[in-house]
Amino acid sequence: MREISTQVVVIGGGATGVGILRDLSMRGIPALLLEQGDLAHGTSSRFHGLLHSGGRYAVKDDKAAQECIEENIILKTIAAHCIEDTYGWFVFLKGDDPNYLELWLQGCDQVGIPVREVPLEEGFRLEPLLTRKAARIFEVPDATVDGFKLLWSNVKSAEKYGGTYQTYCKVQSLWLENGRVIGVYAEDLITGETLRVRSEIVVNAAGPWSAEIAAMSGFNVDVLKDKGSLLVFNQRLFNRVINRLRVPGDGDIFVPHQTVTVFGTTSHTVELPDDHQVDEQDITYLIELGQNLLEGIERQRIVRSFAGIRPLYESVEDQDQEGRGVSRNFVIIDHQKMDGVQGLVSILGGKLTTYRLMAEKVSDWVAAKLGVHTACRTAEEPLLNEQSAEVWDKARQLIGVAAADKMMERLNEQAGAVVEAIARQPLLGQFVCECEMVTQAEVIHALQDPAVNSLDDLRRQTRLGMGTCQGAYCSYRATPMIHEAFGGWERTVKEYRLLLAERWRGITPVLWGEQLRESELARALFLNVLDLKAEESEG
Amino acid sequence: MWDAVVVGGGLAGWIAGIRAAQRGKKVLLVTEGVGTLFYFSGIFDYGDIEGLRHLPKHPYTLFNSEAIAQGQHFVQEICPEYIINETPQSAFTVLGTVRQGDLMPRNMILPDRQEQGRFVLLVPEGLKDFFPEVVIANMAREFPGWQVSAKRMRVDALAEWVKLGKSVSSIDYSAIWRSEEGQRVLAHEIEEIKRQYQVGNKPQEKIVVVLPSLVKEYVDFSRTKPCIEEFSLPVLEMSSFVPSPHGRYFAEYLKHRFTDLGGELMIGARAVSLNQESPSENKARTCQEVIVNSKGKSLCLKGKKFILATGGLLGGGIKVGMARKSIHEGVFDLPLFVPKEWSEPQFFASQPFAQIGVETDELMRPLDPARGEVVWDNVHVVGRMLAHWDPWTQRCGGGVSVTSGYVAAELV
Amino acid sequence: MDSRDELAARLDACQKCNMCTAQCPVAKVNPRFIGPKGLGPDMERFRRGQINLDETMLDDCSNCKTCELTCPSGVKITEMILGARRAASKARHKNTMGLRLGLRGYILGRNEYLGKLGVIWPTLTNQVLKIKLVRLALDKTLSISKNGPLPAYGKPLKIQPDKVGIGTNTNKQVVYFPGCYTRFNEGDTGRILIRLLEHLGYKTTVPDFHCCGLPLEANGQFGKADKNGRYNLELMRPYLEAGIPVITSCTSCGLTLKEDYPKLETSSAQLIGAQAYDLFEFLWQLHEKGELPLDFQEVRASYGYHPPCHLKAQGIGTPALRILGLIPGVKIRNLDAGCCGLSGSYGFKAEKYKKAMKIGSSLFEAINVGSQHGDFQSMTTECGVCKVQIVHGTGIPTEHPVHILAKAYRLID
Ligand SMILES: Cc1cc2nc3c(=O)[nH]c(=O)nc-3n(C[C@H](O)[C@H](O)[C@H](O)COP(=O)(O)OP(=O)(O)OC[C@H]3O[C@@H](n4cnc5c(N)ncnc54)[C@H](O)[C@@H]3O)c2cc1C
Ligand SMILES: Cc1cc2nc3c(=O)[nH]c(=O)nc-3n(C[C@H](O)[C@H](O)[C@H](O)COP(=O)(O)OP(=O)(O)OC[C@H]3O[C@@H](n4cnc5c(N)ncnc54)[C@H](O)[C@@H]3O)c2cc1C
Ligand code: SF4
Ligand code: SF4
Ligand code: SF4
Repeated sequence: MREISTQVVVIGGGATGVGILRDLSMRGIPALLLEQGDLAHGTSSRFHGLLHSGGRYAVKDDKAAQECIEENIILKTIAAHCIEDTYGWFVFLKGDDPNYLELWLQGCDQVGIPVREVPLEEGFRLEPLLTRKAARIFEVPDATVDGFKLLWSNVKSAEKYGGTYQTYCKVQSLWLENGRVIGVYAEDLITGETLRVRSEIVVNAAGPWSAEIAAMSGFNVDVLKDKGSLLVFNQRLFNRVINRLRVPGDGDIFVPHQTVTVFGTTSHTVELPDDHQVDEQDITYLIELGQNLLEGIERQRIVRSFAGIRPLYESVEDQDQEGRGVSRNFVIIDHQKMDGVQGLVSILGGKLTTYRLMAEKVSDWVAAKLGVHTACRTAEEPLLNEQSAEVWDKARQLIGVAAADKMMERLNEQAGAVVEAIARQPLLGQFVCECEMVTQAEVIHALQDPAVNSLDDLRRQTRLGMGTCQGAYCSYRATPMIHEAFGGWERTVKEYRLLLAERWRGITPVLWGEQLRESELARALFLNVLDLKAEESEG
Repeated sequence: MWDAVVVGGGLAGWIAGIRAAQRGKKVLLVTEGVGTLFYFSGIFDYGDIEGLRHLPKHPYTLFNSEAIAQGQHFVQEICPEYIINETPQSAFTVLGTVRQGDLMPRNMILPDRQEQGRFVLLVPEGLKDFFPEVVIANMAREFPGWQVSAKRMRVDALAEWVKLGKSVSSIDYSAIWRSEEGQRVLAHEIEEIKRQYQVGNKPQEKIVVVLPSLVKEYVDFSRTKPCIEEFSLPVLEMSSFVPSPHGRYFAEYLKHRFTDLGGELMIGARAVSLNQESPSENKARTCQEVIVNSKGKSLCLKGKKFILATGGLLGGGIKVGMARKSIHEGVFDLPLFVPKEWSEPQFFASQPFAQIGVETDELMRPLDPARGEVVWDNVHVVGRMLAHWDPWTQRCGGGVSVTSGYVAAELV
Repeated sequence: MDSRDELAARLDACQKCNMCTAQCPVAKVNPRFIGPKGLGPDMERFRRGQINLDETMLDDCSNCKTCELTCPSGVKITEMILGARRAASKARHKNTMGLRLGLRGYILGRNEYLGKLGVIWPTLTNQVLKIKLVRLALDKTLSISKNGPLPAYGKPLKIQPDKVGIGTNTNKQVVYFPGCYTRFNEGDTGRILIRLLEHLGYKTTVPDFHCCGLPLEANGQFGKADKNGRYNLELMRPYLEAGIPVITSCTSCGLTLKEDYPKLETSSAQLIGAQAYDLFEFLWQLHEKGELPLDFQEVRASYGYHPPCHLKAQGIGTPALRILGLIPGVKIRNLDAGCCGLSGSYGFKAEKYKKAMKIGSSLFEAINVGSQHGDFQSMTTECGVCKVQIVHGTGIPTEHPVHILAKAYRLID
């Protein structure tokens, strides 16, 4: 058993966890983050990608709305490279409740969300697919955020300040001594080795798994696991976030992400923190609802579906059965106060939009405990340094404008090395993924990162497999790289299978139209052209 | 009035069209695109014919073994490089693993594993979607007794591509191999290989040159200049990835066979519906004409027989709408067999949705699955449009398409 | 479905299989050209995603439509490319090269005026165009290739405006849209066509049409192309409303009338698609109705036939082959060996001349092999520009199929 010691252990590599790691590191507090999967294994990659302006909570939850608009402004400055400042529209449809509209305008006004009414004619011109049932349109500073990029930027920044993290390392139990948490036991899922980490404080930022972590030492925390399902459309249907202006409910937000559109969501309480199964019923239900904002939605190609679990905090006073009724605010649970155990703190609830604020509050608490008085600087210091125009130009010359821009966004400071590699050997500029324009050089680069342990990790790093073909072509094109990095043919085949199986789980609930054709083609490619063995069916 | 109107220009449609034209019929082939033929790896899979014929509803149950053999001979007649064997043969996939196949070009058939020798893989510079390191490792594993080496090569005509870091598709490479210049380059490379490996120690060692995307079998000498015939070492060609040079050149070859036999080709037109004789009760209907969208207007194509070869899900003949609320066949609106369970949780399993298609009688005329009656008297359904098969797990894609196309042509 | 919706649906149909790119004649010869998949459905997702793109490559597409005929998914690739070119042409910045190319686009795009120039001094122009120095000057000043074939000029086709007006027997009346090439470079073909139609009992009107607009579009002059289209439609309007067909003998004009004109915003736009006919398509229809006289004389000749890209794109098959197949003695072989390389005015451009010749090489090879085998002595094809390129590339005499038909009817020798 390997033993390490540090000052703070952070459990969970979601937005909240990485935010905490960065904040602590910037304050000079040594911290180690442990994550059972790849970064963003949990909710932080299974979400809608909306950087809230607060508009959605303006009527019901002014505290949440307030936090959102403040964080929205901060993140647009410190994490500009992860955010596309699309703006969002709240669309009031003919026949919707005018009282709510009034309340909403008042609410926005009170918390300071800037609202501009968009003339209908302009609205239809800018968003030709928007339903003609729209009666009024209001613009707010909603934006879209790439959760994965945001998480990676946080850990990379934390590393610069001495923070460390380990992925594929699962906390198995808390290390308790004399009524104190003095560290954790964890298993390295790749080597199978057990790890004992000694620390002064353990932060439980395990999102939907928080209750499981707390339960390891016999405590109870109230997390409501609220599953939401989402659909990914093949193309950018709208250029802005489109919300329906009514009491927040299911299926009323479209979020454009680069080339695709994500639409959702639903809300069901579930038992397990990793219940990511999407029900076909939810999908038909969503499509019906989507019709209200986008007529002809049934003709648009859906490339996949996915679900995430909202780790909502269920406070004792607010025992509402439906997930959505619960406040979106977050809480920090000091287990000394709650359960009489020192050294453990849990953070629950919140939203991705408010991850930085949550991290700040937890870090304040931790710093106070440790007697560190450095102030939080995460609201001021950008996650990234400016990119050199030189690298940018060179990349554009080598692989074209669009591909270069996309790569620079993904790689930031590390792009230089990839650009050099292509300059030395132009054929490395060939695309592995043609829809997302990921080059061979970038894939090779990504594979050098010790955190990339599978084709599926590679997918999250590079976006390969996230486009139209859902891995049919790009996993084939990644063959020489994975063959070399992971050693050999058998492993390569296993990686194809795992990636395609993962993609298949998201496709089966939406198996019709063009994605059905694409799946049939992918089967032909792998079973016939590449001659992989068919599997016995379960049935 | 055409003797036969073939709707769909994939493998099944072409075979039907060529055979009917060969029989002296006036044939019109209408197709929207080139179909999945461009994906075809060069090898015809027939699968375990006898086993499949014992399944309750597989398309093979519609044919006798004679018809299946006639189809195979027809392929060989069109393209004599295809060899008919009693037992399946093996070839290299594009990744250098070994796959079986039932009807394949002479050049593709692998040597005996028990023999000893040396493979020299010719690696054309910048060939798209081709991974020599993986191929070499796989070849060495599959042929333990053999030496495997690689020789990189370049073609002057493509220097600009390589300089720009642009890969060259295997289709473009095979175009080069089919040209005089390409043949010269190959002959030169092969000579070098011979010199390198046959000098000194082991002159008797068997050397086989392996080349991706050499597509030799579909050369049409009425349109192409003949060039060097034989190289100084045997050259083995690999089967190809998508878009496949084999599929591409085979498709062109089939097209020329068809038009040279007097067939009329209408490409870029989508059949959308039909006109029928006023239906009388209890009798199968007769189709008079299909309606096709050309640019600007619809055309009515009159025929005695209609062959539906629109390729099922992938070819575009069957459309499945959002949430599967609508599932239909696009030209005749034929009743379809739609499996109740739609998919399997494992991606690589036999998928129920693959079985979707048209059920037919023995003459491949469409049946109404509910009543078991023939719906159209003069319509024959072929290829991937037929129900109850999965070409990828049963490995009979080419077999079903060729046989059904051939048999339908005999019925014209 | 509104049109944006429809386009969106077809964008969704793309399976990323790359077959279109594998077939694109330009991608084959130009390594910088990313091909139809890239420029069409791939980039279209980016365009909608508001991602920066370098759209200069768009101009390298020759608009031959091969990609669209290949696609197994019915993706409207060239529509996306043309749409993006339209958008890019609005935003184009001017540099000196840009200006020169602009002027060249102006000249090549205005085939009509280049044509008229030639008509005024027919012999002079042919002579002048043969002078190396002049070609060199054109090359240097206008980037019109000094080696490329430029069409020769002959006696132009006369306009035959409809003096009588729309007759009572409208089903024995047609409008002929000759197109610039026939009108200015090959008036003979037009005159023969009119005689042929007369022989079949049709009264033919030839209004003073402008260029159909396709060469303008190809050279980035979208506004002017639309203007020409509306002008021509206006001339056609009374005939269209009376149900009179419009006949084309140039396949590119035909495609433009059928594909582009219906999108123009003018009243007769809805009618033109269904009433525009390729000459042989029209004749085949007569034949199917039993109205085409079959009193042909034997024509002992064998031909190789080249189906022009823009004929294939019309989705009507090869009606000329069907009709010529009715003539006793005629032996005709459909070579179908790919694009000739010129595609409108593409191959006239200096920087594209070599590429155009390379594109045409498999066609040239098929022609050379066929003629050496003695399969045929001459070529026939509907498109004038293909003809120019075939003669330039192989030296084999080439004529419009209407000549063969006219011989069979004893209208010419
Ligand atoms: C459908 C849906 C849509 C949403 N949309 C939005 C939106 O548009 N905008 C917005 O701001 N918010 C949105 N949210 C909310 C937001 O996604 C979450 O609040 C946020 O991602 C939570 O982050 P987290 O770090 O707390 O949890 P997580 O991201 O779940 O991170 C917890 C991590 O802990 C790890 N972990 C668990 N157990 C262990 C262990 N034993 N050892 C090691 N690691 C462990 C997990 O693997 C996981 O990676 C949405 C949520 C859902 C479900
Ligand atoms: C990736 C891949 C690899 C393959 N490799 C092999 C192999 O190695 N060996 C083997 O034996 N088999 C192989 N096959 C399978 C084999 O080619 C099948 O037989 C074939 O897929 C089915 O052929 P088809 O003619 O029925 O349909 P398709 O080839 O799909 O043809 C359908 C045609 O109909 C046209 N069409 C559709 N609707 C309309 C309409 N309304 N109007 C006009 N035209 C229309 C389409 O454009 C298309 O041209 C492969 C298939 C694929 C997909
Ligand atoms: S996932 Fe496949 S189709 Fe999609 S972008 Fe990547 S390579 Fe292209
Ligand atoms: S129209 Fe022709 S040149 Fe243009 S992309 Fe398509 S195939 Fe290529
Ligand atoms: S446009 Fe058509 S041919 Fe081209 S990649 Fe897409 S599906 Fe394939």
